[in-house]
Amino acid sequence: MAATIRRRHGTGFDLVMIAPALALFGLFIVWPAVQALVTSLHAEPTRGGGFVGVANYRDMASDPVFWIAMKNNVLFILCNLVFQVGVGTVFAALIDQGIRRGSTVIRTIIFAPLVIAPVAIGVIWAMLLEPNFGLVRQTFNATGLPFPRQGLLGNPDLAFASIVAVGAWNYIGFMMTIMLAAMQGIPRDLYEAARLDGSSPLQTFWNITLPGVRGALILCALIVVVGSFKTFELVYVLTRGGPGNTTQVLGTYIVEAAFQLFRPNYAAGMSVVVLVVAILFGSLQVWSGRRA
Amino acid sequence: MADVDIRNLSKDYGAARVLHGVDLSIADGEFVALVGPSGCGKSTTLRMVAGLESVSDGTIAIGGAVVNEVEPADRGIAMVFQSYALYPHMSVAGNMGYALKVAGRPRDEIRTRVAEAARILDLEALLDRRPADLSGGQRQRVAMGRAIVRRPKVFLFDEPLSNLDAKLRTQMRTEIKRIHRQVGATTVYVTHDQVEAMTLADRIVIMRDGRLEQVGTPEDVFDRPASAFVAAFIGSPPMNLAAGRLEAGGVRLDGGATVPLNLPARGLADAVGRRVLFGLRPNDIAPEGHGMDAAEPWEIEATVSAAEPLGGETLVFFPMGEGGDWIGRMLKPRALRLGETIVLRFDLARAHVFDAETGARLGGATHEDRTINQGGRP
Amino acid sequence: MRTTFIATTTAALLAAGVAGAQTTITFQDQGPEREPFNEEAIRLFEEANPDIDVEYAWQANEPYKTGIKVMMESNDPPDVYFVWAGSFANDIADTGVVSEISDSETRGDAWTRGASKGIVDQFRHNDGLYGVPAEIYTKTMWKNDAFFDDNGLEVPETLDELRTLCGRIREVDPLMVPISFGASESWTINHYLTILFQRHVPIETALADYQLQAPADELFTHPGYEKALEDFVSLIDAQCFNDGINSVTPEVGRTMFATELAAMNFCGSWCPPMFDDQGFAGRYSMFPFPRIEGAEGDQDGVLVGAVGYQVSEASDEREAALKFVSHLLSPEMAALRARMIGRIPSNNAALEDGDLAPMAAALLDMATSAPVSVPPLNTIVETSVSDVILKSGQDLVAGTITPAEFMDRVRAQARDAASRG
Repeated sequence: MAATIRRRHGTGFDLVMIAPALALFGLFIVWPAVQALVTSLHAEPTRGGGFVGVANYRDMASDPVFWIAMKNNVLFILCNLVFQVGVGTVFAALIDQGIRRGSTVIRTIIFAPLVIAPVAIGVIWAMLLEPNFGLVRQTFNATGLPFPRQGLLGNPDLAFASIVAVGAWNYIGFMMTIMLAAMQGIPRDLYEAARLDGSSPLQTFWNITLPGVRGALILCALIVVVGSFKTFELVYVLTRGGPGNTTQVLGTYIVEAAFQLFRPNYAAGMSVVVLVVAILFGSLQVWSGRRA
Repeated sequence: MADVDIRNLSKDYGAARVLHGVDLSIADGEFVALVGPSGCGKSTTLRMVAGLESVSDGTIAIGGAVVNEVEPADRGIAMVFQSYALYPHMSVAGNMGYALKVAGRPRDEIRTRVAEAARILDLEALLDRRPADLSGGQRQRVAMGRAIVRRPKVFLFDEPLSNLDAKLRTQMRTEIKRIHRQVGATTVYVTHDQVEAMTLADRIVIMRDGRLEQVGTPEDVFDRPASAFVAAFIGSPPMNLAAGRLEAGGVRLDGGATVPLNLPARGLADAVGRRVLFGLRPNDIAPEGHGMDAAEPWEIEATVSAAEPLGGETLVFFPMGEGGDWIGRMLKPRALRLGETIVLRFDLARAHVFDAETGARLGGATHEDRTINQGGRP
Repeated sequence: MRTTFIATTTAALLAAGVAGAQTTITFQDQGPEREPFNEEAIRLFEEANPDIDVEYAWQANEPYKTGIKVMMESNDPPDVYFVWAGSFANDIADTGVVSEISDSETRGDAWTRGASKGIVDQFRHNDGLYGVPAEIYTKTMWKNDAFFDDNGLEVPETLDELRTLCGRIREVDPLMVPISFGASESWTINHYLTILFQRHVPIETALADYQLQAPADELFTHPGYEKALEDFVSLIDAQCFNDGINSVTPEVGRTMFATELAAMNFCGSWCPPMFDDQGFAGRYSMFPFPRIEGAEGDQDGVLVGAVGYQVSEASDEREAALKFVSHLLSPEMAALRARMIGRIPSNNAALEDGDLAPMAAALLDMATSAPVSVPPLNTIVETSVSDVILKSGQDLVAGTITPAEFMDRVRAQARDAASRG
């Protein structure tokens, strides 16, 4: 079909057809990106705004907070892959295979957090985790467990883990739903054949289920990688990157640099870095998609 | 050694009983086909033997041991699915060797056994391909190869040929027969296609509504159907049936002729006055001179209502009684005009009489084959 | 990202009958506490100036801090908007979006009548005037009177006494927090450090450090800073505060005091109306932040800051905007401000007895009689250094850095900023 059209109308026709998309892409994606790049090559408005070349990027390289944010972003990606995609897949497999009774109820409960905006999720959990009166503290007290003195979000060692946990609570349902849909596309008789072949549930999950949902798994992983890299709301609402800078991610640090430290051009430079990394991940995905 | 003994087997889905106390013994090495219309319980029975469905009541024994609670993989069976159920991301070799791999067999042994099965099935050139790259027939062979590699005591086939076109089906039928002879394992084969059952099986089990209707050799079920249901189910085209009443001189068909039958000779003397179904296969109706040796000929003048030329023969449709058209055969076909009157000869020696109410066979010239322990033929 | 409360007052009905061109100015405030006063002031202004409409909107405290900077960067900034005096106001002025208004001062607009020169000076920057003061604020200690009386507790005069008092309170009532403290927004830590630095470091030294005016290698080298931080940590160690300081919000901190879950609170002049709203009126009183024996700063100093309004350089209606500012900050409106919302107007010379609530009057008295006053660190310290102090405050609370490491960071950033500056 595509070949027919090309033969009849030539390349010019193709260009006309993609022109609207190209124009919108240029206007709303490329142009702002170019502007961000240009902005990042100039000094802050408070310092005259002259052209300074890559000075902002040099600052970045020696800015410990930037590297904390970068490290946290990478950690965030890894943790979210394990806890959102990994656990979501396991939940999906359990519901797909094991649980007969009440699976609809379980699915609804696990899926429900997804329909809540991340900001609201953050506010809800900030309340639950409130260190003096929150439900979590009360639960610890009721069960006699020791509660960390600075609470969960106020403790540098626990704050990041808490954010990961809340994020997982938010998104596991989504990942589970995608994976479950993919799993339910696997013919039942494959599982019966595997059972006849003597495959244990674990072997079946590994050898039949996982390869069968490879496409969905890659999709979920990409969503998590990109989502985690540009994460902002949850961290901002729960800890604002604190205590100190311990949970700072690039998203929160960009906002802070732009509007609290009043260094919008430096912030633009960091946005460019995020963009470049996102493009790298994106091409990786396209590349692996072509190969598969 | 690997006989299958099914006793009083029942299956309930909730309150609904779909299998009602089935008894069936299958001898070691025997090839048994389960046939019947959709929902008759044949697949359920097979899946219970495989261990994919739980047993509600009764027992299944394989090689003398009751396997009701034994895991499917430990029953010494292998199954070929209608959809083949090949693992799509594994190569042909991977598919065939999977059972051995999860059983932790050494690599060399797996390779040897896969190669051996591949040789039997002529799959050697395809071992590295993925299922998606195979034709329907090749996939079918891989599915069988996967079963063979496990060296099962009992082969289970669940409508294995229904996804193939007619030509391939015939070819694979031969293949299955050959492999059965070669491997020699007890085989239970589910199909809704009575031709497959007739050509493949040592014995045919006809099921209806969760019960056994008849168990017997292909000849038994063809020549001496135990019921009007079996008579209509086996044979293509099916047996002609017409309703009527037994009278001293034969069967008086509703709305028409009386067919002369020697009732005492058929052991039907006591049944005079009973409502019956009178049946005769299309093979036993032909114009004179069309190569049919009638032991007990009876001729009628029939009006041709339709004709189906099949090449070597032509099926002739004509009204008989009140139940619609009957079918006869012309072995030396000539052009027929609709409405033309021809003389057809019936071989009444091969006629069947069934009770109109119960459908059960009436009278002699049959031995009701419901014996359970009939051994397989060599 | 942020919750924005927008309350818009329309003057359309009033203006409907008036012929001629209507002028509209936009007015952005930090809220919501000033809303009743602002609405009344706008009503009066529009009555007197029927050709001018004022569109009023506000955002809550924390969102406002970033929100106003976003708005000022946009193509449609508000004509008149709220700022904190000091580095916050100066940073915006540095980007060139703020109108220089010494002309208004020179011609003696209404806001200049009775204005305190010292407070107006807080809005001068680079030889220009970039704002008009509206209120001053201060911060002090508050106590639960009944709890102190019932348990025979004395107001602590020194930091040692305060630490001892914390222990006493924990003994008397294990469920009572001595001082409630919420630092999920780190400016609250900043206020403690402001006053502790003030106690430990002489004011001239401190101001030179804060503005990066001392030689780069001497910045923040006074040993008093580290001692101040040690004192701060000692309060945490003495169990003076509630658990989870870093994740308790300032609102919760205030509420714990007003609902008698805490015996004391370090809170601003904006707090009494909030305490009163929660039904705590008349049951609390103020006392000065304790002295520190042997420290080198001034032991009677107080924290005092100013807030006010700037006019946008991009405003198409500069004269109307200045007219509104002048009205909003006139001595008459100052009295109304004091009466309606209990804040302390910066222009307080013309206030009459009873305009200020007793608590506010006492706070004003404390602020004006103090020998030394210093604005909060985050409004006076250079922005990048201030950010290090803000962030490291939470680290100090979490116990992940020592006071010495804290000051190392501050010195490094100060040197860095001085070299760029």
